[in-house]
Amino acid sequence: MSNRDLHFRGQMHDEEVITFFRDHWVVLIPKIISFVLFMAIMALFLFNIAFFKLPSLDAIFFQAMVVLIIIASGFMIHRFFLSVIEYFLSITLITNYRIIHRRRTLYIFNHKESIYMRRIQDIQKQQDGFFKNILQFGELVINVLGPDLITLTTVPNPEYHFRLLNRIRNQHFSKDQQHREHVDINSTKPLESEISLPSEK
Amino acid sequence: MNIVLLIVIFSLLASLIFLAVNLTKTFSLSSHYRLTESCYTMLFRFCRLRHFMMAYILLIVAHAIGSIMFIYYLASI
Repeated sequence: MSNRDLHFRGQMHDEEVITFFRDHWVVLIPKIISFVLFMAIMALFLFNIAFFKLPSLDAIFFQAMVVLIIIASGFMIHRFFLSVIEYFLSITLITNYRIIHRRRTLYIFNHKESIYMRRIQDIQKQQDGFFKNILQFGELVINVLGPDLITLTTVPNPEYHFRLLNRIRNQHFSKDQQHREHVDINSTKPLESEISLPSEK
Repeated sequence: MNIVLLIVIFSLLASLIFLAVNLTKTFSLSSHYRLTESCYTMLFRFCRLRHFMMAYILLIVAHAIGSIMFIYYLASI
């Protein structure tokens, strides 16, 4: 599949999406484990409800507990799926002009950052640790013009993205250099007024 | 029992409305970029967003039905 059919809101007319990625799936593991555990406990309780000696629903304390458990279980389901939606909506796009880093939740968080390739001074790849090397994820630290350091965390396959960003940055750099040389050549050319006209006979 | 059932039905209705709002908002936000088909992230190569959304709907509906059945079961003890 080519990248030509990929597009996003706010795309410039000659901007092309080269690649994009979400956080590595490892960020979802703790949420999935806790949710599966919660569901397993609920299922075990419901399938073995006959073995429990539950008090009558007339007791106020038991009524309150039942209501609280039902509300809490609903909250847990919503919380898990909201975190999946957050995972889906938070993306990093690499285009031929810039890197767009977007963090978004449905209701609370809406953060968008755009780093132009021309602003990038250097890029560091950090992939330290056993799990990071086995599961192929790491951090990309982008040093931009000025005092800022931008860190992209839990980047999947950081080596690929590191090489890709360096390649695009180098292309921009060589394009800039060619443009500068072209301007220099033009500026050293004498102006028409400076060219001496042939003397009349 | 009636008050408990009323409170639970109210909270389940709120949960269903919240689900509907979440789904609408998610699909409207995901249409801001057409990128889902070739995502680099492994998870979404196999499990598309719509699969998660389907599971979300099923679980919330199952939770609502299960909660009401649970209360009827407790009342019948």
